[in-house]
Amino acid sequence: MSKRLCVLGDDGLFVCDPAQRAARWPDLWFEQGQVDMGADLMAGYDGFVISGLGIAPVVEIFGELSCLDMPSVEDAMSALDSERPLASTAMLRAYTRERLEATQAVALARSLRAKTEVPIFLVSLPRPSAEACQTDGREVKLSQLAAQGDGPFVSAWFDRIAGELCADIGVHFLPQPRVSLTADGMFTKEDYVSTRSTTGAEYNTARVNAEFACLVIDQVAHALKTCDPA
Amino acid sequence: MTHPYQDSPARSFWRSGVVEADRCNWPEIYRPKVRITRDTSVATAGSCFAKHIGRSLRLAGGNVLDAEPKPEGMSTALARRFGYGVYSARYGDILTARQLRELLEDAQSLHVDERLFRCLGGKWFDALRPDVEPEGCATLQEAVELRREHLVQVAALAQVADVFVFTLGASEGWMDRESGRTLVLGPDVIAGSYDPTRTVFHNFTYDEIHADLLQILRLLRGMNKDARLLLTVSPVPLGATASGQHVLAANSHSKALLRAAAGAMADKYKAVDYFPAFEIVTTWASIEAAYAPDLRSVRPEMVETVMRVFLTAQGLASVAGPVGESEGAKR
Repeated sequence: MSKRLCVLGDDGLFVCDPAQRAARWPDLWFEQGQVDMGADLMAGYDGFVISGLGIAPVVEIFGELSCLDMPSVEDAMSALDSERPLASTAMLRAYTRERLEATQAVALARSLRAKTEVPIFLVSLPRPSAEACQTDGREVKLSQLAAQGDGPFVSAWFDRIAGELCADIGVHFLPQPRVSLTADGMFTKEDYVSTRSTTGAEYNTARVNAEFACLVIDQVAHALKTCDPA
Repeated sequence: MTHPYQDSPARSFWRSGVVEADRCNWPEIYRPKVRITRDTSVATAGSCFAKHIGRSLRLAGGNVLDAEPKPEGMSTALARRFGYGVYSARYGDILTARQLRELLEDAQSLHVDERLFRCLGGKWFDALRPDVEPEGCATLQEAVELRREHLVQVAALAQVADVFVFTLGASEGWMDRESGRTLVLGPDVIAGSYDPTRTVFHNFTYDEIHADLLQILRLLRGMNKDARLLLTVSPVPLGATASGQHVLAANSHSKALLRAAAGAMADKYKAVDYFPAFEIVTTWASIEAAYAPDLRSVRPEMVETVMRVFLTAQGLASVAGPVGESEGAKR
């Protein structure tokens, strides 16, 4: 039986050609929805996909604080040198959750969860591309963290805390597909970036191509089959 | 006929100094020896009443230092939970003079004693400041390194603070038997259950408190030769006593010791001053109720009175801003 899914937020999923979508996922039908839709409209959907939650807040946090698990901290010898005071894991977790809670994506997820029992998927926004960072000089903190060797930690931290938060809300967090990320998890591989992105990257996100959209739809399709009801 | 009080000012007499005085503003009750201007770098520490001094000074445009400022994007509520913005560093409440003395000694030497960390439910707590990490640390190493970094910041704070405001809270404390160090709270109140083999009650004597205050002054001036110390005594009564006395009597005993030691320090040393917040709050001559219904918390109106007296005496009242939260100046 086909499922009708409502996509809210970034339209990256629709980069994938409709004909290709229909051929590859014949049982899934995606529609771009409105954030403030009424209960009658909501009732027609079998699930919601919110796109999405970006790594930016976490990058900001680790731009001003550090913890012992970060390679650059070198057993606490460099934390003060780099003006990133050490913080406890517990405080970092609470702070990260607070920052993620303050995003529109999480607010929307909470709001939807209160109104419907169908599955809700909160998709990670794509990390920026490394090339875009170099070209535009944007994402300084992100590039610094990557250069310091903290990328794997920061990337994993974002995925872990976002996953915990979403689980508490009763929605499913879908991290950025691993195959689309650079080895350190901090950037979207150029193979998945739209040619437009090198000159027009959004803050801490990349404009992605159809191949990336397919990866995410695969994630959604898999999660839809395996997820527990709310 | 002459008498020894004939040249004394009005403030010296009970009738003119109290009964007939403006008991909202208490003129001349405090004539600062340690002057604070808007350019004076002020550090605050002590028992919970000390936080009012820091907040009022900030609102008055004072330069209250914050060696460990809250992260930029963190809400005030979360920051408070983790001990940010309460005092000039994240040392939490410091109730006894011995605690501040030991903190400054540690800051000077960057000494961290691993025996002073408690493990509870797999989390590690710093027994010297358990309330700033209410959820504990993931590992002993994390807790130790956080303390070490805290000490670096306390040392840096002491080096730049022109005036160190310290509010004495109690004479009663608990000591770790093995290390001999003074703990912040009753036995493992936060980080576990009471283990009498590890902690022992101690009621500091006048001599001990005075010696600790003297050593605090020496330590501060060792790190900053121009440092001055402004002492107050918290009017918040003891929540409990382990002395065996009735808590009312124990409280009087405790506060009397603190008041006497602070007064003796202020009388003797040019670099030490005493602000009589305790007297303003606890006097029966007060025209407003000083305490909330729990008879322990000082009512906000009384806090305002105390701070108005302080700021007026310091010449800072006229620049006081709107009431509310404000953040400290970063060191």
